[in-house]
Amino acid sequence: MPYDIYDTLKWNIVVSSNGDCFDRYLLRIYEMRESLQLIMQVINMLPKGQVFNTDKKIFSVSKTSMRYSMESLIHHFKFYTEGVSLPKNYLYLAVEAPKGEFGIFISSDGSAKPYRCKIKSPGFFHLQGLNIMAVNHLIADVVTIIGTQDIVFGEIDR
Amino acid sequence: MVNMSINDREMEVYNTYTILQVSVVYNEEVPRFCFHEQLSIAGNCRICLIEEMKSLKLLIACATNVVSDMAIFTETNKVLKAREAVLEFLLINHPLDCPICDQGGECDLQDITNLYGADIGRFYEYKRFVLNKNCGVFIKTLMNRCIHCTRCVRFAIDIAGIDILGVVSRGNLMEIGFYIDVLINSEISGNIIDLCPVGALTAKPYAFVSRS
Repeated sequence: MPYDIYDTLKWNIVVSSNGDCFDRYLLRIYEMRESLQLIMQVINMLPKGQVFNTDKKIFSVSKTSMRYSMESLIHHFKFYTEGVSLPKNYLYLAVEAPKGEFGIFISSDGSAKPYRCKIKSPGFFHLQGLNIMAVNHLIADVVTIIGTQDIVFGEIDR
Repeated sequence: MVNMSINDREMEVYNTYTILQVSVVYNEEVPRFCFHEQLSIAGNCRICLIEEMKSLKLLIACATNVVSDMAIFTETNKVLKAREAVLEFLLINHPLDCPICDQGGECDLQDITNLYGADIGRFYEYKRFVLNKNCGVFIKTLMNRCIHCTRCVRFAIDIAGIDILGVVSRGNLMEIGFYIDVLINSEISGNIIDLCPVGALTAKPYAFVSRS
């Protein structure tokens, strides 16, 4: 999971009680400030020196070693023409996106290309709330409501 | 029928089977260079080594018949290390031709190295050089790339019935040669293009046309 060190970080959970568009706007601003705090903490925790995977089975080979090493040349060739083959399995992994849970389901049939890849985008589920949120409002208010829901239309157009 | 197991999977098989045949039937992957379904068994590439619990040394899967109560393991550390070593020896004298080789992308040596080989080489000497052979208008030879699986030799002797291909010399000097200095003029000689696991024998009319 990508949240290895979350328990060592400090942050405030921003909440609000009014539930209107201005509140949602303020929450976004506070969330951005909290994100900056998290980034500052994580940057200070970065280990010094080169952090680099040396397993050439799943990582690009250096151009220098390709000039003399047959193993490196073959791995470079296979890495850039075919790609890395994953074991036959499936996985759903979610990360915390600014708008909610952003998850990817990926399924492998043992080849280098995914057999199926499905993206769960957070904006798609927020849009369902528009019906409830816009009751007894003017049409002109829908623009503000959608705006403060912070939807990316690319991810709900499906 | 004998009882045996591959990777702890119990199975009952005919005792005429070799270990490699059983592994093919039960989808347990064993790599091979010299073995081919239609040819006689040579057992000289040693890439299909597997571990049998009762034998001291590793066995070659292609030329060992199954015996009762065999317990075979195809992915133990010992086996993987042996395959890595075999591949290292094959790659010592293999030229750095992948980017300009017609077999690139459909090459057994590439596939098996990618699966089982080491990811970094430790060979810093000069490579061997082998003169090309004149193999007629259809077969382009680049004998530097040959890994001595002898598939072409066995095809020529067993199936084509022409006794002109063979292996000359031993060790580092080993190469595929013609006993008689003639072109392959058999009408089925073009098959050795597909038979060759590496890019040593490729199609001359189709050279550099496309990449698979």
